[in-house]
Amino acid sequence: MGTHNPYSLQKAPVLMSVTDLSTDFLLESAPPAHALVDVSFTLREGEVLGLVGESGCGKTTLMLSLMRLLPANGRITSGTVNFMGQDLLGLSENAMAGIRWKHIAMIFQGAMNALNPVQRVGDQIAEAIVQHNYIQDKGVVDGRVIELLDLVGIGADRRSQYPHQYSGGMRQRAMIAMALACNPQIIIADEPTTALDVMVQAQILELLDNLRQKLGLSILFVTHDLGVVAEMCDTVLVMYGGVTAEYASVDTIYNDPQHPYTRELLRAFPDLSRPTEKLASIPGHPPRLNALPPGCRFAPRCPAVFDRCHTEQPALHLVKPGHWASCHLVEQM
Amino acid sequence: MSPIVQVTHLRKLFPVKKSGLFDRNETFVHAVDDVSFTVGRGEVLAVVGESGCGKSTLALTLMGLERPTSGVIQIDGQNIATLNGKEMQVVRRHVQMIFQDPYESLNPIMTIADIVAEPLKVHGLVKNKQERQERVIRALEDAGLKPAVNFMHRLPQELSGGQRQRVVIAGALVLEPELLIADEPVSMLDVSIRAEILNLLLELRQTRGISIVMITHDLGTVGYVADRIAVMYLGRLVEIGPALQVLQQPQHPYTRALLSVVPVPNPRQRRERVILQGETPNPINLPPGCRFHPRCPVARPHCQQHDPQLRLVPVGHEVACLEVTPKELS
Repeated sequence: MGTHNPYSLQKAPVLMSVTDLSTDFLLESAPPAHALVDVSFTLREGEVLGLVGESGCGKTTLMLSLMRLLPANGRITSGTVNFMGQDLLGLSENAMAGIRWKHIAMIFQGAMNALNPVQRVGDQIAEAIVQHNYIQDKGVVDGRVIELLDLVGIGADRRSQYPHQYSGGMRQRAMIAMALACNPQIIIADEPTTALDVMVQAQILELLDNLRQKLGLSILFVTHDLGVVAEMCDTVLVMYGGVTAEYASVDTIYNDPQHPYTRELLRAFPDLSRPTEKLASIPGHPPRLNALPPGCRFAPRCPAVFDRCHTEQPALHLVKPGHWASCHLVEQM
Repeated sequence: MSPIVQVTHLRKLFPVKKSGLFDRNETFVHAVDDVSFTVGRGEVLAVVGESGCGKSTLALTLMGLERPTSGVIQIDGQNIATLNGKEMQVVRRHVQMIFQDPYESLNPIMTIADIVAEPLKVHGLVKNKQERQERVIRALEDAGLKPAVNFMHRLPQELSGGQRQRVVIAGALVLEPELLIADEPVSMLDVSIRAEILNLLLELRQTRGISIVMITHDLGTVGYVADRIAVMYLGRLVEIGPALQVLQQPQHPYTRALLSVVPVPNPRQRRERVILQGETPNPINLPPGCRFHPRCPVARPHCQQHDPQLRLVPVGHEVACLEVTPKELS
């Protein structure tokens, strides 16, 4: 895994570019929560971008904003999402419906719960094909279902079974088959392996990596598992309290992290190759998004905090080409 | 001193529904099959394996919540199968369990103080309110919820996941147990707080001399907490030994494969991984011979015939594999 060449990736065309995306949640009897503030990134063809952070840091909001699937009280307040020469945020709901699943598909976290328990797996995949491609011919649809199942390593004879007859790993494979139904260019994978055993997780990651190579997919990989990110991703966006903490290539994030949050997160992650070191934790918890600290959002937990951090929100600074971090310490360097 | 736990040839089979009225062949799920090990006083033993390997059944059997089909469990030198209800309750006081999900294992309409005091009531351990209060405060503070008064009158929903897990631990500590059985104690928590909880468990071992059996599927963290690691596959122990040795010189092909797929948080160490295909076979129709042979990358024909037993291997820990050379007896 991960044998692709970063230089060829730099030459790959940009598929999606997100600029200054901000999202608020309107709350009853409270000021709106700024769940996402000025997040920018690009996704190239064949790139796997890891979206990392603790729960409540804005990963899910970012993903739902891209798909324009926010709950009723969510509002995108600024920014652009450029995809295939158009701004997705400016499209009509109908036009957006033509983008979802056809061009950008999703794999959800709980494969156990994301499938309909009373419908055969093959029929659920067929539904995705019929819905988005307007193919009516049963034979053609069935052929495509078999092809998709084969792509994810499930035998054609199992398409008439129900989800409960599948193991956890197979259900996740079926979800992936469904996401691939319309040949999307981008897959957004939300914690696709979190509930799975390590060996099954390895099988699913291997499958996603093969599909990326075979189909030239770009993947937005949302996870809190830094080990998976290290093995799967080309670039990493670390989020904290709704803002970008650090954004760089995977090698930079792990070997030259600049933001204290990234460093702390890495220290807190168990590393099998160094089992005797003491595992660190990050005391405290992420900020509540409707009661943010006035300065840097990480300041209350930051080990390198100084006066300015409590009063002034740091901007996203360019550390070196392709590497950004929002920390006052970076600016001083 | 005798070990806190001694398990000998433990078996737990669950009968499976017969397929028809006249079906005479009763079948069983072999959840735990001929497992023996000990846990020393103040020791942390991690039992590692994938879903369905029998590790949770093992935990429940140790707690006395499932009766073993055969074999002996001795806790504190007492065979728990021979105890009557009263004696068993005393043992239960010394053995406490921490469950996986701190969101599901706390009663949402009880205050933290009431939740932690509940075990004291059940066991009838305190005479008056004041003593109860004192023990609850001590348990909460030992579990890292300081000062306890800030938490006692709150409800579980007002606490974060990490704090809830501390309440669960306080509920176990209040009985001053000698053995904690922790079933995936951190798998539901965010990475940033996992370390806090694991470090807390280690601290309790240090300050109170508590022994811990930690059930987990996460090989990434066991190195930080365990003294010894036991690896289970399909109801059997396939490898057991000192933690560092098992992690750094794994002998059983299953352990090796498992370790090879644990993601390492460094992109410069992307390694060759041994990805076993398929999934653990169902524990009703067990493969003949070695249970791992259908998925084993180094299996040879004799693995289909002989069921390997745990043997000491050169590196100084026990492995059940025909392909690993045993230690010379000298």
